[in-house]
Amino acid sequence: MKICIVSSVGGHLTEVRMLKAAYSEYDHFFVLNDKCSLPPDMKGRTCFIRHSERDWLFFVNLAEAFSILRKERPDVILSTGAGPAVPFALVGRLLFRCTVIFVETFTRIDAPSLTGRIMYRLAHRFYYQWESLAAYFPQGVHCGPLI
Amino acid sequence: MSAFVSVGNATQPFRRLLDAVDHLARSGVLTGPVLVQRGNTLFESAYVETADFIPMEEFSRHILESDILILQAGAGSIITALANGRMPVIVPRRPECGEIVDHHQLTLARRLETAGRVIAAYEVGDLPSCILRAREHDRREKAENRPARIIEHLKRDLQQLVSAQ
Repeated sequence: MKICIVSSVGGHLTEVRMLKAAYSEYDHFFVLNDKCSLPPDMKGRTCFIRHSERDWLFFVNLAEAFSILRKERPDVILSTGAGPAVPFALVGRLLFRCTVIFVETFTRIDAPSLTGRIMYRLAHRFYYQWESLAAYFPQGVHCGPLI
Repeated sequence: MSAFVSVGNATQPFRRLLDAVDHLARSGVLTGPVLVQRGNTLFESAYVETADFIPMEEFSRHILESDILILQAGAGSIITALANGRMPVIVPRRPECGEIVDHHQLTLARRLETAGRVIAAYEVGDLPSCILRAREHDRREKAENRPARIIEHLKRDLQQLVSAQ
């Protein structure tokens, strides 16, 4: 079992690292969209992609996702967002038969994020933290606050 | 009592908060050492220490160790504080003050305050009372000791996938 954890740096990375108790017993690696100083448990298991902000770099990310997933062949793609989750979920699901698991971010309470709305269509398992989002994600699972 | 103040990395300045912090340090409401992460805000003070930007690990350390936290109501700062078991004072940036483009910090602050996870200071004049309330309610309980249901969900998902291999 190998897990590819895709994340933006900053708050999303802090959030997905809260899932460590679930992913750490399995082989895993990280994909980040910006350089940042890495904590010890991420050193040597992190690669970086270009930072796209809903622009043409999205297509670069698709190519980067293909290259990384072909090399690593993870079974699962896990993310709490933001944008980088989408190219990995697309390529992973369509070309490499990855299981995609997405957790909508803690900070979306009344309305979902754009990434969340897209990932709801792409994920095999979709979790959301606040009950107030239930109507947006009828097939999703309400898991309560992660933090 | 040490204090850590952060305005985040936004390009817009947040002088309203930092001028208020300067006043609190000068008037003795904040008694101990104060570190202000000022980002892109032009700010100097003889009463506090300043840093422009702080790397993630050091930021987490300040969040963990400072007695008082006063943070802009940005998602990243809030997540880090809550993940480290803290109850921070958060100050939403306001669009009408040119501090941010929209109301999302205000909305986030109100909802998290209702959920009992943060103390929100909407006006900087509220800061002294908010600091007191945060001190009362801040349990400093590490998130590992409050297991989240998502961990059980995920463990089950992953175990099922392993079994199916």
